[in-house]
Amino acid sequence: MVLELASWVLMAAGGLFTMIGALGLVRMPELFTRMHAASVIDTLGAGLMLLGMMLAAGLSLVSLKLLFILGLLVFTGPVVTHALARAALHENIKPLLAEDRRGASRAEDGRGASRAEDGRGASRAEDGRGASRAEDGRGASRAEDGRGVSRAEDDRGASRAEDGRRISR
Amino acid sequence: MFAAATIAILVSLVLAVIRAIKGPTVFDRALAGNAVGTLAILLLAVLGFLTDRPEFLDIGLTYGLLNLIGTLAVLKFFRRGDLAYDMEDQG
Repeated sequence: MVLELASWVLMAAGGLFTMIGALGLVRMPELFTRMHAASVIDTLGAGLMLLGMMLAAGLSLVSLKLLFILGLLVFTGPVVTHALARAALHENIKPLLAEDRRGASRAEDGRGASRAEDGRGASRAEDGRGASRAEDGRGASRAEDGRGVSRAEDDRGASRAEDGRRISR
Repeated sequence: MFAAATIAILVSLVLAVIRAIKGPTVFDRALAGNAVGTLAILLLAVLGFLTDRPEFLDIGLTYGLLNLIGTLAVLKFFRRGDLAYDMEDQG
């Protein structure tokens, strides 16, 4: 009885997370956020649902096969996502940054060193604080060409590479 | 409860297929195809419970392996333009 209830709860939660992930797959704005949403299906959705089915099946060959399926999904999901991200970056599909959408409205943030600049370079010219930050030598002097490929001109390139949102080649 | 899970999986499948049709780049379609594969495995497992035929789990396992190979082959094709590229000009 308790096992049945736990199985029901796990399967309902799995179905909920599966639908959330699929909804994110439709609603998210670009490829990398869609990958983020699709990974919810692979991990939480499939994991909880298969766990619920394992509880419903009891200790038998069926639950062993379900465990194999779970292991397969756990190992192949990150492999496929990694290959997809590398192939997309190889085709010059860049992640859409928050600064790309909001422009100079994030300039009041005040943390210039830990923040990725706008790849277009236009909003930095018009926000008025980019020039003064470029003079104080804290690593904000970043010249970038129109396609967003960053040239490592400053000495803070390592910290910018750790940012993870800027792809430098 | 298996029927409810089946309905949830079918709704998710419809949403994933919508993304596969709409997707602007080929990578969106590959991502949606991978999600459809994962959901198909789940659907096979749930249907096995729903109809009391646990043989469907074997089909699900096979489908998972084929899904991995198929997605990686498609991605490799669209990255290299060829499935049998030279290993030395990798990069």
